[in-house]
Amino acid sequence: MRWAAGYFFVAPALLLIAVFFVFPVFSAFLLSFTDFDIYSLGNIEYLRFVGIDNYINLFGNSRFWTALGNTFYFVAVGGPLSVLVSLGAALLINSKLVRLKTLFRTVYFLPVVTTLVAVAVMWRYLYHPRYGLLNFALSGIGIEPIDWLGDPFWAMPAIILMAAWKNFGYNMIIFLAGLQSIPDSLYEAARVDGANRWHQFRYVTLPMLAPTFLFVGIITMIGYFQLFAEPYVMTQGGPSNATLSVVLFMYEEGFRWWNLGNAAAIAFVLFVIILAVTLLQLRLQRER
Amino acid sequence: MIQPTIRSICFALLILLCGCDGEIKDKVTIDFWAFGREGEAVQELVRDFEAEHPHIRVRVQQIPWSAAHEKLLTAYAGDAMPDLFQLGNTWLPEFVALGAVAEFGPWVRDDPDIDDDTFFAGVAATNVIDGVVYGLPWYVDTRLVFYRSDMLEKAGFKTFPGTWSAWREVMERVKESVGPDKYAIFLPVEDWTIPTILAMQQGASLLADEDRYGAFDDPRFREAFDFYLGLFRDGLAPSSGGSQVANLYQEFSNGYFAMFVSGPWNIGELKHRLPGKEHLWATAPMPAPDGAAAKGGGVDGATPGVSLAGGASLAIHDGSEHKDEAWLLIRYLSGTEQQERFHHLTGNLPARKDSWIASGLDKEPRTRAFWRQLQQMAPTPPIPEWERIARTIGRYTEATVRNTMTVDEALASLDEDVDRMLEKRRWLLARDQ
Amino acid sequence: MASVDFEHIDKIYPGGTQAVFDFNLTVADGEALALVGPSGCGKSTLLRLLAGLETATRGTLRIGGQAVNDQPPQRRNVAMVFQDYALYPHMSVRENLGFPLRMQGVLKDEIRRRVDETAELLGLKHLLERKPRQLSGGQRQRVAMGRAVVRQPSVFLMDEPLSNVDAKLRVQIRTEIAALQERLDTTTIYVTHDQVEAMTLGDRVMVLRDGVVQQVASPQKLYDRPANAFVATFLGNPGMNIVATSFAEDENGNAELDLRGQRLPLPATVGRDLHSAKGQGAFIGVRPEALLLTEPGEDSLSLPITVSSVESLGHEQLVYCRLPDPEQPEARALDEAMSDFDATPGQLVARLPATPVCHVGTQLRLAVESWRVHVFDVDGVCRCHGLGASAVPAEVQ
Repeated sequence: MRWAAGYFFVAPALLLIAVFFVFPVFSAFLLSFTDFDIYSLGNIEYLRFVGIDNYINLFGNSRFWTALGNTFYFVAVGGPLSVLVSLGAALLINSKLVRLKTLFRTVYFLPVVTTLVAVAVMWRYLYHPRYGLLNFALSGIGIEPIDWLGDPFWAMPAIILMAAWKNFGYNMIIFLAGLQSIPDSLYEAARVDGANRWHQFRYVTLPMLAPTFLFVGIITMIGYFQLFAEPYVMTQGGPSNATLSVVLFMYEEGFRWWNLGNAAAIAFVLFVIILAVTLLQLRLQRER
Repeated sequence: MIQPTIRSICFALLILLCGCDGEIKDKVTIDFWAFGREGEAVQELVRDFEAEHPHIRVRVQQIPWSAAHEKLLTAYAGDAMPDLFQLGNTWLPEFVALGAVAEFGPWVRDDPDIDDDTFFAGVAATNVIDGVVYGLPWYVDTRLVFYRSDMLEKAGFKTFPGTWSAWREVMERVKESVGPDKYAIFLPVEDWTIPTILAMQQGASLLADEDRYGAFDDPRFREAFDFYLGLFRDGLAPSSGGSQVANLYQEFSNGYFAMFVSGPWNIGELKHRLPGKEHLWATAPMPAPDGAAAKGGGVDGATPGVSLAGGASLAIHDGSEHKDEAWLLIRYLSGTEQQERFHHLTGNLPARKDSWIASGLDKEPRTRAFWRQLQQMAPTPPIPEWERIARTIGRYTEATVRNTMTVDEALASLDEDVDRMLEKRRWLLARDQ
Repeated sequence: MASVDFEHIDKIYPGGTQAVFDFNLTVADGEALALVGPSGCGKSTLLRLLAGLETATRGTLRIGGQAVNDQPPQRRNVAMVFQDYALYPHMSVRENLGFPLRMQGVLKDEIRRRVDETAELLGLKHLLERKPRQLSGGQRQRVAMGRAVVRQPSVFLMDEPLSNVDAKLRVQIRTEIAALQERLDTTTIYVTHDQVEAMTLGDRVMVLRDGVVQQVASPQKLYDRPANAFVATFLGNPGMNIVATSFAEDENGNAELDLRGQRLPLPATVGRDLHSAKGQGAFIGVRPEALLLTEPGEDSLSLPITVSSVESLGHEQLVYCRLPDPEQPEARALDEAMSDFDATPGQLVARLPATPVCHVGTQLRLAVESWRVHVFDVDGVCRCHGLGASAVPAEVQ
């Protein structure tokens, strides 16, 4: 009966997981095969099982493809950008030449803990086409003002820039930890072996950071696939759906229009995509 | 998917905790949800109501407008609805479909203070679904034109035009007089209200066959749409969208544009934000289509074209145990005197006509435009899907303004999308017949 | 191949600690110098200064006669073996070995050839495609050596290369390194805190303490003729025994040392010097193996001791014993000065044959031939080796 005692002790945790995780996820999965909406909420008799229609409709919905395209755009450009900025900041802070490291570390981390709404308000001013600091700076080098958030071409880059600024501090801390775990003697060995600064970075820092890169890459990618708050606050998915993300689309379906069946289907499609890309990333990393 | 569950649990806990604060026996407590500014202002009126009705206690909960719709739906899903609540009158069909709101029939019929002419007809109609009354208008809202009288004068116009063609001419002249960097009118590119108003003025029904299908390929809708798009295409309105205008009032004051279409709250806002410039701006009812007598508009400017019947209503939760007490409060808030007080507190326009006359709002030049406009209102289709359809109209409007779609493509896709949204409605109608 | 010169080198770290004081040394081309001293004595700092990993605060460093103070490490053509080997964990053994060549821009084929050659030399051929984490400690050590060897540097620097290897392997690798050094004939500076390593690997050994040179000499000379009590006690395991003595005079008025009533004659010059300058007394030093369990001969002294503990090592025994407390107050005062070097007042260690077995508590007399006694002044500086007629004056460092 020893196994029984074991189950007895893990039972509370299992129960909590079952109630707050397994059950909701399973319900959501079932929900994605129904047309649960405002009518069904009023009268459950109006609920229909629609099989995989939600998924079929989703794949036939141009807005979904737009949202998916935008999300991939955001992940493909914003992810690497944010990781590179994080790495750059971590290298700067880790440099022996830099003073006031703690101050810089705190300052760079501040955007991460600042509420997005406050950040959004600030960036809306920076992006203002007529009075914004960004366009003012660009005009200094002779570039015509850009309507950052109003122009469908520029809206996503603007969101990416803001998201990278908002989030790089988090990865920077992880990179810093990674950098600090590289033994000094490796750099010394490399220097004695004739490596200049670039070589040290290329042959010591980068390969030694590979596990950190994998972690940061996957975490960032998963987070970036769930792009929501930035466009929700800054552009509401506009202009012309240019910043509509999958999660924002899901939010609209689920909580604005109360089409929970559709929303659940979107959630599972997104889940499968994230899972697939994560596996791909792990695989690529392992092959190297 | 987890979040709503947790949220409703927390909410239920909150309700439980709140419910514990020593309710006195024989005293009825009703919960009242009101939104934004209204939620704050109404507390004063509620205090007087409580004084008049010592056996009733009213707990007012103030909810931000941006979260209100979701919060009501979540409360319904979590069985935590208040007894009495405010709601945007276009939301009513949704809550009727849910069975969340009580019928007002007998109360309204028996009330000596309320008859067919008490409220503006267009607004009163939004509270009636399939012949049944579910809410009482609290305040009204519609859209009309705010304009810079000095800029119009400079372009050679002393009064605001009453017809589309005259309106268009005014805009062209204004544009000529302000030059390339400024505009005649500001229109948000993703907006659905103005195209919809223009289409309703043309007599377009928006939906067809008992609201089973979209009717956006209707030539009347198309005519309105063309007129609207023409304003962007011909440079009368900036086509770059809302982000150019960080501060509407500032830009209006700077003369970046001479007109915009908006609602009554901007009377107060403009007074407040443009101090000392009150002589420079005015309001005017929506112009009507040319020769539109037959289409529900006025004859060549004598009567305004129709506009949206907006505003907020008060409704009672069907599951409430204190419906009678809640009705007492609604009646109180809809009384002539309270409507007037409410207007002074919030700037919202009273839903009761006699409150307008009593407070002279129908004579004051800026509100007079609203008085005239409020006589000419049309409700949007009273179906739960309307909000979503409206947003979709806005989206396709934007796509055409930005030239990513032609008008033909946009209207065809709009019909297609709307038909898909109405699939459930068609199924329900077929099922219940 | 190149000589190395340190000229008046000072090294002060940013925190203000001075690691090296006015350091001067010349290492000849092809010479193997072992740098030995307790931890924190500045020996690693010297190595790092030479490698270019640290910059000297003052003074001039020369490699092959060229001042290299301002040269970055990659321009100095020195190779270094690190204590933790510092192998690049993500590179295979082949890549590790080839890395310095790659950095020098050597062509691929040439790299391949030289890596193979080095691997052959060090017996690493079968390990070339492995990653460092797949190697044993000794193999890693050899790869680290190989990485230094492969580039044919002018100077080899080794920073405690054997401290992470277990004792048995250490002996083996030690001989390998010695053979390698012999064969390559490259100038080598070898830092260690292990005196056996220093003695076996260095043509010359330098003992360093708190950033100051104590003695530089051949291993044998260092052992036989230590310049001071620190060197004497530091080298050898166990180190030299140091005993406090007081002054006395013989009938002719010559200075003598008094050890528990025994008179130890001093050479005249040394006696005068010691007596006039340092009135309190002097130390004598005796290596553990110089203490014999025999009757004192003609030219010997005899030490009455009590055995306090015995360590039996199989082929021999280490006998820890106590001398009786000195009667003279001067000698007692001297005892306190002994804390400066690694010795306990009144205690002696004798390295005796395994038989006869000594027992704790036994009282014995141990004999020392007088030529095996070293005399140090109160500051620990060695004044002469041997007593009386057999004495040799110590060299002044």
